[in-house]
Amino acid sequence: MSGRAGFIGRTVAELEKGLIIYARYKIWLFSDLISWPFWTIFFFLSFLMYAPSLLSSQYHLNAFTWSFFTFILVSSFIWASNFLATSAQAGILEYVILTGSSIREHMLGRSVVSFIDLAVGGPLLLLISAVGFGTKLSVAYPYLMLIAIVLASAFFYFFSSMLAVLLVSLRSPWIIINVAQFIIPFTSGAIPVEVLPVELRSIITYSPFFYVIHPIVASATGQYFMPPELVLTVGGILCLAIYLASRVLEDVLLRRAFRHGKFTLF
Amino acid sequence: MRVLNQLAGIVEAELKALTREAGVFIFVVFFPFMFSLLTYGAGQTLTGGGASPTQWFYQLIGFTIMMIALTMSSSSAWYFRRGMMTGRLEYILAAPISPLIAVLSSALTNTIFNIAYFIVVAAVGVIAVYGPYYLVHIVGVILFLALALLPVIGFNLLVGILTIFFREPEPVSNLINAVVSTVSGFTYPIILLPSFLQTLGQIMPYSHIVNGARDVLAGSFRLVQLSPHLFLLGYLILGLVAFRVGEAVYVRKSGVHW
Repeated sequence: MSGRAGFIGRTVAELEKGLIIYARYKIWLFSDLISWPFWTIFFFLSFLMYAPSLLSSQYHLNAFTWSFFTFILVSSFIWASNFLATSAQAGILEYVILTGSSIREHMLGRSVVSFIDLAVGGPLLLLISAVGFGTKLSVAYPYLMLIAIVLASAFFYFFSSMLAVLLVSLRSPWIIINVAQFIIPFTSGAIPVEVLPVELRSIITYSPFFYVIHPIVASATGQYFMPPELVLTVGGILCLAIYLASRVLEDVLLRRAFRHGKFTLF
Repeated sequence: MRVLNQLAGIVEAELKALTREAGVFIFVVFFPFMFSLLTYGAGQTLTGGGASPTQWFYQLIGFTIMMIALTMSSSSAWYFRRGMMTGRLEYILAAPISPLIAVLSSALTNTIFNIAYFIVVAAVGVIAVYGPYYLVHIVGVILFLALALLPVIGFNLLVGILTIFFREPEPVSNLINAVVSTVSGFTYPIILLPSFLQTLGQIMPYSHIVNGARDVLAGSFRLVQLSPHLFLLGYLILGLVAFRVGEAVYVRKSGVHW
């Protein structure tokens, strides 16, 4: 089946597949629900060990809670890029291509798990912060926060598709993913800009990830480093650019796969 | 003698397999530096430049021991999982070698690998913070870790057996890793935790390992600090017992014997 109906059918099938796989492993849900609170406490205290006095500053607690919210978002989506290499290693990818499905559609089946992780882990993080650390959670600009979360989710869905294509032939892509999940958010605006030294503030604006990560934290604290319209517009343009880049890379990968019989860009 | 030969043979094979995983070694060496520098940078920011190098060293050693603890706690789980996925576990159980020897060999290899890994990371940290003179303390840490990691092998066997019943090592190890990482004082003093989590941290072996390793490196370790480790050897005994019970149940269910 081709055309719009075919696209919708394949997309629904991928979403269904993702949900079925997730529901099949109930132990995962149980594990996530218990482990998230512990990881949150761990990361909170690892950062705040240097300044435990901030545990009594409501502004910083709120800001850092949203910092870790962005970390959960980035981590949830970026781990989806492991999926393509796993599919290739298991010999599934060839069959997926034969169905006429694109790699991005195939990734959607895994990304739906990322959305669930965010939908479960995000609110849980907020709850733990409020109950465990006594944080009075607040969002200065709820409307901008909604846009920022949608924008960041779309951006990292396309980014993980692109990363998946780049890492498809690696035996251990998790190494790069593991590093990237920490480096990307915490060097690109997850740490509230206003607490950074002055000389660092302008440097982090050169990171493209800044324009999709900073809006989440800034919408909560109300401290946008640049006018919100500018940040979100640049973020939207970058989202479009990463979508196009993921399409180009996917085409290159498929052409090379048809020509050489193996999935690799290199 | 036969058992020792089997043990040595498997350790040699496992070490050869590890040398083929250069990427993993680079990652585990890189990870504590990356994370401790990340939190140190955040600490400098939060304190206006007041974070000290000894605090960075505290976290560097903590993250390193944490990596060791996490990989060691789940290595048997993965060993069983791979065995179950490939059908190799039944062959191991049916082979004329004790499965415990096979699993312990794997754990021993991990211990050797992890101590070597600790030496590399700690040496860089010690030179950067205390100076080359303190490098001699690393010898003491090797001896200390050789003893202190024994309870972790027991813990490892417990997690491995759980994998046989839950079949999925990732959720089991993810859950255990989250709890262990949080309550063990790897990267912050456990006094910052609520009291019941402090108690949990002190019951498990990891906080004693990381604090002991830090004290040995700083030259402030006292022999009396070894006393909890003797009690913690109970984990090794518990792990061995649980392994034997789990093995018997699995053998009965899967119907393999020799």
